[in-house]
Amino acid sequence: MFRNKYLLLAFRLVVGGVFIWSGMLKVLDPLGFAQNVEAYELFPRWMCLLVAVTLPFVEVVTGLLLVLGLFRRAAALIACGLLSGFIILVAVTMVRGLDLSCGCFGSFSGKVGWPLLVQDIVLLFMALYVFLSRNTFLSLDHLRSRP
Amino acid sequence: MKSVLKQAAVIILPAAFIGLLVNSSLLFRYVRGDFREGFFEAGELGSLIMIDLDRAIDLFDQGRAVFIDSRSAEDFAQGHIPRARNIPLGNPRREELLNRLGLEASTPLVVYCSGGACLDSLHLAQWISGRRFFKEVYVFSGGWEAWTGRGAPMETTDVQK
Repeated sequence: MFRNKYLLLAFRLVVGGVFIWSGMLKVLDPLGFAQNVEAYELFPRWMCLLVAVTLPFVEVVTGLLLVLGLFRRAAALIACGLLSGFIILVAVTMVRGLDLSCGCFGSFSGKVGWPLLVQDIVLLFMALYVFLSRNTFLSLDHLRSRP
Repeated sequence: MKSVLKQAAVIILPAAFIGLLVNSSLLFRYVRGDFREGFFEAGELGSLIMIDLDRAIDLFDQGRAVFIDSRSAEDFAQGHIPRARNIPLGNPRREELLNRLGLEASTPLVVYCSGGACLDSLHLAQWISGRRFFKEVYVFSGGWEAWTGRGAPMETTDVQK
């Protein structure tokens, strides 16, 4: 299991691409993202701003590393952690019955709901696959590991 | 596993630090007391006018303003302010939907969403103001919740394609 190199590459590119895209939109509009975080009514205001200015950069760097295949297991682990957090956040928001735009893709964000939850679970599965795989197909880690 | 965790920390910490550095002016402004009303730039809100339910009803009664519903097409179909037009914030074709309305710059716009913690109306109003010039763009923050709470008129319609 976890040995199909083409599937691994596809998952790396998809998760990495989504993280880069999502992170860049937030990097470009930190206040807009802070508004989104605040709307969840779960964090104090200072924390909303702190999350809004740091998380997008972590997402972009993680995405880039996944696409390049550099430190890909560590990057996949971060992606798993972030996606697990997003899944919990979406689920809690759905249980609370809040009608919110998720804030995941700037002004392109969709509503918090089942489609978003499924999307995050699929991405989590892909990130887990990358994390558990030892294959270095078409990755910079392959060059790093050469003697 | 330990080395992977170490690598993860080495990725996260510098990335977060860069974020703090790049946005240090925002953090400084927050500490200074800016953003008390919310995380908005004064300039952005300057072109938007926040209104309450009474003002929204006034504008509705005058009949000159166009109400724009930023909720999903499904929510809109279930009930909306009479004569309102639907431009869901998450719709990638929202520019086309806006253009299709054929609005003039002098037409007052009232943007609303479901109300409560909903920010879609504000985001859509900011987006509209960034795309086209309108003299008056109002954000009805109470939204659908406040409108129905007062028992103001409503209508249902087919989902717009």
